[in-house]
Amino acid sequence: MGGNWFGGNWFGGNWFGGNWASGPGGGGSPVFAMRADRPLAEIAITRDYTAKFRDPEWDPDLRALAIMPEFMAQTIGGKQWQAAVALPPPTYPVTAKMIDEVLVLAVAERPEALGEIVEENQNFQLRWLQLLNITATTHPQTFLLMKIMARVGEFAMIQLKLQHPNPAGAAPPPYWYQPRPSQVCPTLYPPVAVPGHPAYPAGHALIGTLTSECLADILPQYKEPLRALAARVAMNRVIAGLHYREDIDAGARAAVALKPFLTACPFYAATFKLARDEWK
Amino acid sequence: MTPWELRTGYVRVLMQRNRNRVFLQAANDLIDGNSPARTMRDYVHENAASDFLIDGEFGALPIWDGADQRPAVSITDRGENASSLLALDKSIKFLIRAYVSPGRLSKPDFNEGEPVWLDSDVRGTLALPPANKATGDADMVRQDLNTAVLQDNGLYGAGVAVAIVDTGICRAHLAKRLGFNPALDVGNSWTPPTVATMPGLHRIGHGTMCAYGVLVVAPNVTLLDYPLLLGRPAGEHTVSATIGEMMRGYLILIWRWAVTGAIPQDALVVNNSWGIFHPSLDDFPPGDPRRYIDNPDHPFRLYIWLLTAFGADVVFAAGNCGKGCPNPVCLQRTDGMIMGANAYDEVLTIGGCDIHDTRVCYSSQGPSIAGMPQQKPDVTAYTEFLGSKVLRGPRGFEPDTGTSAACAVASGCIAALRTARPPTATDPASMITVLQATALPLGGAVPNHDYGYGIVRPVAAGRSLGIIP
Repeated sequence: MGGNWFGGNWFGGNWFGGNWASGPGGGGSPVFAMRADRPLAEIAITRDYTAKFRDPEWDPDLRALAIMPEFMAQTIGGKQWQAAVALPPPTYPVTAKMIDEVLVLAVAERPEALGEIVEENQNFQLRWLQLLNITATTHPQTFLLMKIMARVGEFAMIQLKLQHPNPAGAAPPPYWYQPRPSQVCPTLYPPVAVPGHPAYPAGHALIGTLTSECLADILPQYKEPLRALAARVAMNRVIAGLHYREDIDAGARAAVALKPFLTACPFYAATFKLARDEWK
Repeated sequence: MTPWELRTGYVRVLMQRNRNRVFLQAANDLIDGNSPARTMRDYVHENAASDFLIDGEFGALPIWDGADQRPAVSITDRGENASSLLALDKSIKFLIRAYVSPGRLSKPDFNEGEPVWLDSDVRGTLALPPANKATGDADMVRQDLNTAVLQDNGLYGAGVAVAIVDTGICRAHLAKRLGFNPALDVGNSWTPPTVATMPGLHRIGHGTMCAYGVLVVAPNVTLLDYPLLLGRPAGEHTVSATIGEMMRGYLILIWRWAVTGAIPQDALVVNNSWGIFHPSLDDFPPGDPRRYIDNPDHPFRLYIWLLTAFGADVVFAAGNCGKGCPNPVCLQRTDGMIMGANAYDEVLTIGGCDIHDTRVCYSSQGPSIAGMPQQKPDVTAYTEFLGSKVLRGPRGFEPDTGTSAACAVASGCIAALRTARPPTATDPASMITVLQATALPLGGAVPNHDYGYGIVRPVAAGRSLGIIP
């Protein structure tokens, strides 16, 4: 599948139903009536003027975007989420130790981790679906809830990445941001495309941790494996040479700090309730 | 709460604290094979802060009068004396593991002035291509070591326990490759609680290769499976083991070998084909007393010393960061790369050579990292031979490789000698001296920084010990 409305293929949901395992209502290639010489329209049928586009027919990728105004307006104790997260600036200039750590991991761990790195490059919430053995069809509300987490996570990630321009000190535009490890040391040679956004904080760590922490509210019995999966996905991005260790720590902490602002949103709360019922 | 909830990043440290009822119980839990998490829960909770978190699952480890104080023990104290000398309630100081923000750690009154050390990452020392060309097979290693003479004199390793501190053993694979089912004491093996597989049933890999190297020389030893390199802290980001996990496993070994006598054999050899890969993995700056890589006072040394004081032979690989073809993980660094426990005085440190007696180009050379005993490696042993076949490459099976394999072969030599010479007759330090004195000298004047005292020669060592005529 090609790119999507986020420019890159960051999270993979696109106009054609998303490239997760399945869009709403099942998978398979889309089939359309295409033949101009034999339109189905020649057949006279009874029209249904009471037809409705129902909730399950929504593309969850897009439906989830409705969370954004609620999330942005949310305040807790008079604070908005950015104030509650308050990440410190990244370490700049990047130190030799930071690069050496990533290099050692690239050599020592990448061969074994490569399969997961490639699988998790995009649409990595698939790994959570796999862990819980669910799909959009079996658990549509849980699926939508995860999409909500993803949309909020993507938004927060971009806002936080924009928060620390010119990390060495204030300077006028043009702005620049924390470089990816492979920009400092090209021989890290990440096995997947280097994303089109700066290194700090790590998006996979943020969205993965948010996904695990929120799902743990529904499935407290899986809290530990959910957290371990989030940590694993985050660490794989370091092994891939895309992040420093501090990026993933910051991403994970940001997720924990912003979670209360998400769970306080009415759309999230309503979907959460429906999602929880799917597990009864 | 998990480590990454600390808002400011964290360093994983081992902290010395004074004895209390909780630590005592937690150490007891560990020794009894129970999780100390429940015992530690309230203590963890009471001490938690936004920039400080104790790892309750780790529990607490006794260090008696402190990491720099050595209890007055000797080999003959094994058993009843040891259980009174090392009784947990005699331990005044305990070690716990914690995640701490760098800011809090840098405060002068942190931990009320009690010492703190890094709990650093460690990994198995497997050499990777291009240095992967077999120069012979296991039979040629046996010929070079003249194991026929060892076995003519009954030195098969019977009555000797060999602990493989590694990634775990696959016994079925060993049986297939060796043609006999090696002895494995499951009851005296120990598996970190974060590992799902059981003793002898671990995934085929580095640990199985090391066990094979021992059995090539000493087929009748009893293996103890200590897959400590798989024992990463639960929920940690990192994918490797840590020194803290090593210490937990070593405490179990000390207990079973010295205190309870659960290990019935007359001798114990501990094979350590692992190390810290690169100085960048030590989180503290040079000169800092909390470091691991160049700090002879790190508390892990106390545990190693205790094992050797009770007569266990502790063998370490030198590492694969030698001049010529250092492993890529060395990041081209080849000076002072024998680091941490691999450079301790008490351990026998093993360099690697191929079966033509030539140093393999990745074998780490001395001098060790500044601050540690400088004359390392001690001796050299064989590697780069087609042996355990745990690795399959594009052209077929890969040879056993790295100073890991060399370390295992050396452990096998010691185990063979220990068949007839228990530590009560020749203590580990004397055994090291004998192995050095009888090694085949190579590389110019010995000791040197390539081969140490030369290539290990178990038959010559046996003659020197008077157990081979």
